[in-house]
Amino acid sequence: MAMFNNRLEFTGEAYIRDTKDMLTDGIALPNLYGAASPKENTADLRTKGYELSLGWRDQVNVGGRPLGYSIKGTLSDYSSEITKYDNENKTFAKDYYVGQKIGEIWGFVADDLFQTDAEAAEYSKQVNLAYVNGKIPGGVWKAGDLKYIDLDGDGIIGIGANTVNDPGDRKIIGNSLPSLSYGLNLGLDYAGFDVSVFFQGTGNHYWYFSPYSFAFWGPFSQPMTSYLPKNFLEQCWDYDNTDAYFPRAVAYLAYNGKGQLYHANTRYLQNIRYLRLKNLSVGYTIPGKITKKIGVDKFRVYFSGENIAYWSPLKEHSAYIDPEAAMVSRSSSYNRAFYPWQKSYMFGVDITF
Amino acid sequence: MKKYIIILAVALLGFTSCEDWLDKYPQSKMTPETYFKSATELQLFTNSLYNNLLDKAPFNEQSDQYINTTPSDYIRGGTNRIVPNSGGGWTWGDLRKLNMALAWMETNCEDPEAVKQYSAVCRFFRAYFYFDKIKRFGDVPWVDHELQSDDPLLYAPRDSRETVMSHMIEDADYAYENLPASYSSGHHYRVTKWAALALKSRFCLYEGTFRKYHGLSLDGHDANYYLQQSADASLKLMQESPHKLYSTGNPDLDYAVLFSEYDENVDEFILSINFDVALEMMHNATAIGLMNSQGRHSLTKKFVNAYLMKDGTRFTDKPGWETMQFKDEVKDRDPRLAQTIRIPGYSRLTEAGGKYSYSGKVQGPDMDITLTGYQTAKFLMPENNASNDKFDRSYNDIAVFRLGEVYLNYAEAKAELGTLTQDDLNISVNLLRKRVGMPDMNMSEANANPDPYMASAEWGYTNVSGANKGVILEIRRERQVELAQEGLRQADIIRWKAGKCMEQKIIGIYFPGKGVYDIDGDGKNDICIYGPEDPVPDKNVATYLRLIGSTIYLTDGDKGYIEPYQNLTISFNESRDYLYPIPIDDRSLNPQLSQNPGWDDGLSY
Repeated sequence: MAMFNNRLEFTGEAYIRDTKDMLTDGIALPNLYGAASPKENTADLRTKGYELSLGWRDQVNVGGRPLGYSIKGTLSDYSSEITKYDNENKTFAKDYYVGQKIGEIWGFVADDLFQTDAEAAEYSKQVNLAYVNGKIPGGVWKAGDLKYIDLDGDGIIGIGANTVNDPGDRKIIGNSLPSLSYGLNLGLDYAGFDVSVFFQGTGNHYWYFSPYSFAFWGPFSQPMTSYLPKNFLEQCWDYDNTDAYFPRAVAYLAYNGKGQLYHANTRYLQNIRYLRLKNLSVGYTIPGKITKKIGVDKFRVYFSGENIAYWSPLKEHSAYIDPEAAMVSRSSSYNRAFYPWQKSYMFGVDITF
Repeated sequence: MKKYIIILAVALLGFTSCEDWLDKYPQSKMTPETYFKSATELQLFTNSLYNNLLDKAPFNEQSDQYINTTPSDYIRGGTNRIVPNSGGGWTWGDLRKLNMALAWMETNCEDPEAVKQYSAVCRFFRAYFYFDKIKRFGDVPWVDHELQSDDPLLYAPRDSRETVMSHMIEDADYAYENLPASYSSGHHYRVTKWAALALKSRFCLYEGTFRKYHGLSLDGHDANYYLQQSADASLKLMQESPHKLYSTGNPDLDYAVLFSEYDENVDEFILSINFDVALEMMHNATAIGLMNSQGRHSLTKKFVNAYLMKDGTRFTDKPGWETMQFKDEVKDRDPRLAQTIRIPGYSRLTEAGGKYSYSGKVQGPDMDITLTGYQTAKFLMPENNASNDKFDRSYNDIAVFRLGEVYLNYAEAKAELGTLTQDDLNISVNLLRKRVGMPDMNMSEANANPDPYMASAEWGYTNVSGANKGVILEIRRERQVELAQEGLRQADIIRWKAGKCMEQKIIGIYFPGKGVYDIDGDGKNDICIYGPEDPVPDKNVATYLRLIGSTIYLTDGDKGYIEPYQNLTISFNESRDYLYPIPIDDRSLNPQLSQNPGWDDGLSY
């Protein structure tokens, strides 16, 4: 849709898409079956979403010269829900269940670290923490360990019946799909100068790091990689560093299936929303009447930069993982999202004869 | 009109009667319906069972007596052991495979001899498969057919180990009845009826001793029934089979050759794995003994202590045994020690024209390879070709069952039953003793004076009692010595309810203080131990320079035993660690599946 002499441009789309009989890995069978369950067309999925784009482009006179400017924003979002799947008691041991929002993250509520040994001892007496005590020396909870909340009040940290209706002490703590994706283009030209800026980003979306993701966990994952984030120890709890982000330094806490960092939990769930200055370019074109004298049609000098800066809550806890790279490669077991997106700067001259 | 009706009727009739003709099987793929027809097809199909189920690297098994640089979570115990989401040994693919073969060969194969033989192979491996499951999980579901995806068994509770064991005995008996006694190759790379007996001897002893020491009584058979089954199977094998111990009459050589020679010893090996350089089937045992990068597998002080003196007296009765230095403690011991670890004067075997002898190229313990000073020498290839000393380049055959073990099973079962006699010892363990030139085990002497060392909490087994206590401890000693590194130690500890052995000291050789030592007594200084306050010694002083608290740790600071692991807490949970946990996903999918005691898997049932 274009209006006001093509100055305003707007497109909007909303959709509902039903995917019927998706070919999935087959409904999980107990291992006793002795073979992989055959692939089946078993799942239905409904996706709802929208895409919006709004642009404005105009020219005004400033000081007798034309000033051109443009602004364009895009916004999109979607969510998908399973509408059919053979999982009657909604166990998490099967891939899907009816009503599941794709990307939802089930996890434990644990926001604080124990601040004293006495507090840890008292709490571990009241609540059975055996399910999450992996690698704790001697199984003794101490200051600096993560305090898991007994959500269902049964005195045991656990996974209930491992079903949606009885998830134990877990609840949905986030969704790994972006809640919004947006982009913003700004452009300006005046008196031979031109500027364009492109921002891009996402709204809230969450990620719980894989146990192998040593770029985030450091030695909490695999100490044998000998990868140590520069400020790692500053981030670990200690008696003289009690407001640290990570628990006391114990190797493998995230790596081991029973370790306190292995299970998705609210404290270490990362919000990987970001806003990134994807591109900035500034140029100046020397007026044609000057350049023509030396036989040049157009002479423009410019500067342009890619991936200049980003802002993200993730940055606070890991300078090594790029949230946008994470959009692409967090699904691999090692979460290889630590290869940073390249920043590049360019200075140049355009000459047209 | 009528004509059309008739045609239609004929057509319909045709469609219904030709169903068989309409069923087509894919031509490019094998399906069970078109397979399992001949002896060749059955053999090809069952070959994978050997590959999947037999332990090709028994010398990798870590235990309280045989360690490497990275103690496994199983060894460390405590919070290092976890309930996995899936896997963890709860895998059933091979069972499905052999059950499938059992069913289809009955209908598809018209060669009754082939059906007989290969159904026996399948049932041998079914018992073998279930033995592993019983050892790990205790009670497990018994499945004797190919499951369909809606089979109620998938969602059933576990069967009692009694049920499973009874079926295993049926399978082993069937295998014994129907397997050939030998193959034309003369080798034992395929299962024979003797292998079926050896298997039965092993798992019945396991079950009998497990029930006895864990105080387990179940509906059905008791511990003694299984002990008797084991003893009977062993005796039958000893009496009826052509198997005999390998011996050339050289007590200082024969035991070493048995594990090093290229091809299996056809007399002693009952079932073995054919490693062969031409087939590219190789293992890693030689590299383990010779390379620094293979985990530095080492024996421990406790392991070496158990070896008797050459004259049959106990090392641990000698005054000052605890603080004896290496070259003194290994002197005049059971000759198997010198054929299991490097002691002063050790040299590797060499082969010429099928004859094996020591090369004479003397090598002492390499402190860059061994963590404790006790460096493994068993299972090493002859040193003829240096390229075999590399990673995964060994092709000496590995025994799955050998007669030596059957002798030990026999003596132990009879001793536990209380029916052991001196004659029993003379036809079993004393043959092992004879091979290596050791004096006989004497039952009345052993029982009159049970070894306090072997019964101590610090080094041995505290829960052996009764009239046969002395001889049972001696048989356990013999078992440890004879079967060193053969992959049976973990199972022994479980069935003897001897988990506390895991927590006993893991230490190496003794040093009375700082200084320079000639460990192997060859006149050349091997190791120089110095402290942080001492000047760094010249590198020519000794082959290995070791700084206390950095490159060597001793139990008492600047003297004592080598401590290969520093600050390592090993804990064995008596109420949990005798069985493995059932994976969480399987319990989620089948809530009838109970968890083993002591395992916190987070599930509320």
